[in-house]
Amino acid sequence: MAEHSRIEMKRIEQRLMQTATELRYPETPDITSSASTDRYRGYVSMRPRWAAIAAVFVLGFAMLMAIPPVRSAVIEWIRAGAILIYELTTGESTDPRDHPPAEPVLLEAAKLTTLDEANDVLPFDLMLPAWPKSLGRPGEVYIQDRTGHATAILIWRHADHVGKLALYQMEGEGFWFKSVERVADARVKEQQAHWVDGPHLLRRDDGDWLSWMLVEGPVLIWTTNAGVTYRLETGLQLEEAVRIAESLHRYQPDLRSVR
Amino acid sequence: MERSGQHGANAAEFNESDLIPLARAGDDVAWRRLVRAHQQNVFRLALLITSDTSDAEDVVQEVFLRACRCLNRFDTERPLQPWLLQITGRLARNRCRGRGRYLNLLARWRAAEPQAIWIEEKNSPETVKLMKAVRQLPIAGQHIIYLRYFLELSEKETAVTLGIPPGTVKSRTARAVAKLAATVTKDFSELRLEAGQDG
Repeated sequence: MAEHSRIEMKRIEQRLMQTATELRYPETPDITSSASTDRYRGYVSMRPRWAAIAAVFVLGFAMLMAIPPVRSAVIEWIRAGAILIYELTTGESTDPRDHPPAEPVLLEAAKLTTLDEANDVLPFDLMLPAWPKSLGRPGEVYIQDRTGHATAILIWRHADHVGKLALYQMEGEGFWFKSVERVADARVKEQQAHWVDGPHLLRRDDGDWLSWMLVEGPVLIWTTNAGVTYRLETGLQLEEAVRIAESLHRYQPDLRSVR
Repeated sequence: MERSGQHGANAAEFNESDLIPLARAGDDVAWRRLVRAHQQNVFRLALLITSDTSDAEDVVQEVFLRACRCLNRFDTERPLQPWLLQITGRLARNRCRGRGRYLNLLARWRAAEPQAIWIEEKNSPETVKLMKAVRQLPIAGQHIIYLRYFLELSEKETAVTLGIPPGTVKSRTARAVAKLAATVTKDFSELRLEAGQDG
């Protein structure tokens, strides 16, 4: 089977290379005549779309400032894969154990889907936790691909033992931001991880699109060498969250349903 | 597969790192040489992603406009092409989305005939079939196939362009090709046989 698959892939790859060589494109428009550094640099663009985004940003920032913990100064930036964390200096701390995670806010344009389809769409392997065994498969699976950086969101709403749990799996860099009150170092399979322990704001910004949500529960964030960032939202203690994170394994689609 | 930079033949005729400072200083001749060297691949990637000649032309204009405006921040020790193609990929995807198509791409491409008229007008039926199969892949899979096979970027160049590690390029390419093989098996079996005969 593996040998058959390897041969098949080799054939397809050969066909791809042949097609790429033979493919006839329309003539490339020559823009050199209009390429002027003066003209380009003199171009000042503040298109309505960007102006609208800027306005939303200002509004969002004003709303942020209305929340007491967020009034504090930003003192530190931490990059965790696709997520940028900025830590706040002061503010009332709330024990996250007293506040189960907020209802996962599914951002605009998230599409309800299946594990198979999500696995098909993502450019990386979809992962599922093997621990705790009673967790089973997520009740809801969402996919976001609006930015061209695909994100899968798996949600368990009433899982035994762990209660509510949301696992984000995303690629790309620099389009998720967190403003947090407390962040602690952690490890997931020897990889650097961050434990955001307390209410925080999550902002998604890809340049075209901006949205905010308030997350009350603790979140574990870590990345892998494959360039994938994971975000585990749960009401559990750090140790249990890490155990879930370290139990992730590749989703195996039902081969009978593979197209 | 590991090929490197046939696309860079034009660029190799001169030293980019010499031209970029000149372009930064406002030398139009230097800037035009850079544009001429890279506009073809920028156009082709835009065309492959958007499927539309007019959109691709607009993307080319905007890519070089943005590149010129950001040239002061560009590290001259790095090759220009991956950076340009990075901008191209982002703008081309945005263009698809701006037309209200992006969120429906996967479903439409699976269900409907591709609208890439230029492919059907200019290419053999076998090429058209394979391109249809490629266009049924998720956009991320298409993107990496376009970079690796159609623009012939090396793994390293593709990694820089997509902002991912080289090892990830390898695994994602294999994943995309495997998906393509499954698509061909299911929907384009006659193409698969042709491939077998060729192979």
